[in-house]
Amino acid sequence: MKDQEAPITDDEWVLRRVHTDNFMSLDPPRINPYAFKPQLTGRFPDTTGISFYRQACVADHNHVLSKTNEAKRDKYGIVRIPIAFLNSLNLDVHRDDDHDEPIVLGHVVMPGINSDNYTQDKDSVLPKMKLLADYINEQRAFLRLPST
Amino acid sequence: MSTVLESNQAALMGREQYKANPRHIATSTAYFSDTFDREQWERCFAKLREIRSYEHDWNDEGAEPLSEDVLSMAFLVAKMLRANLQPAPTQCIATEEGHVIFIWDECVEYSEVEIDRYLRCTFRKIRPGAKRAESTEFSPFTPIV
Repeated sequence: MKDQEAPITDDEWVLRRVHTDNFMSLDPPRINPYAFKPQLTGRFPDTTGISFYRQACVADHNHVLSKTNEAKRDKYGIVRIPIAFLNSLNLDVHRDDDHDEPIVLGHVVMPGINSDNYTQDKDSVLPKMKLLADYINEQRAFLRLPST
Repeated sequence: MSTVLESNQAALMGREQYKANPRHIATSTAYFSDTFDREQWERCFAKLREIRSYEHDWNDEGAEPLSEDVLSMAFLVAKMLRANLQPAPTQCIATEEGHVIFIWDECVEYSEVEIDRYLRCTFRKIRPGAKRAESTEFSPFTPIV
């Protein structure tokens, strides 16, 4: 496992939680672009970018659900994307350490998709969200599927 | 409700806008264009009814239920598309800020229709390789020509 202070390298993967509503189907699994929609409301709008976790920093990918109500974890899948692919799209991720218990190590944000640019210019953000969803669907990069 | 819709209609009619022409969707989804899938439309309406039943925290992130105005407009748009023998969307979703989005994503071009909380209806499509979506507002009240 890597320390979250270690530089992010091209050979790493990042993980993202995906709610069951953003699965177009489960067999075969397919997600829609809104799996990468920034949160606009609530306590934690994605003003600095949508959230991911570095897989190299967590012992088990299911740890990224630690902040989710235990009774609702079955509603989430987990997908992963290689950093090298994000770099090829000019969608870099920045370290953004988690400070709220339960702390999940390796939290990063993707500034290229954030609540402000989604709200102000959705036409430029939606194709990026779709590219990420297409990658997941084509590569079948699902580590976990929702069960409800 | 009807007052809101009527005033929205008036506002939309006054704009220079894309006419409510779902042929654009059919063009984008040529794969389906000769197929009118009754069952898939029924699933779409069932999903809208499910969204209508959403309660506080329906998305597990604290979202509020969608407004009845938005849902009525979404039903209206769906009925208009179905009446014009358009392909059923691949998926219908609600967003945390209270919008409804119909998604067509089984063809070369991605298409969607979004009904936002101001009751604007926006059609978007993404051509392969495009860095920007093409979007245009339309009114479900404008006759199709």
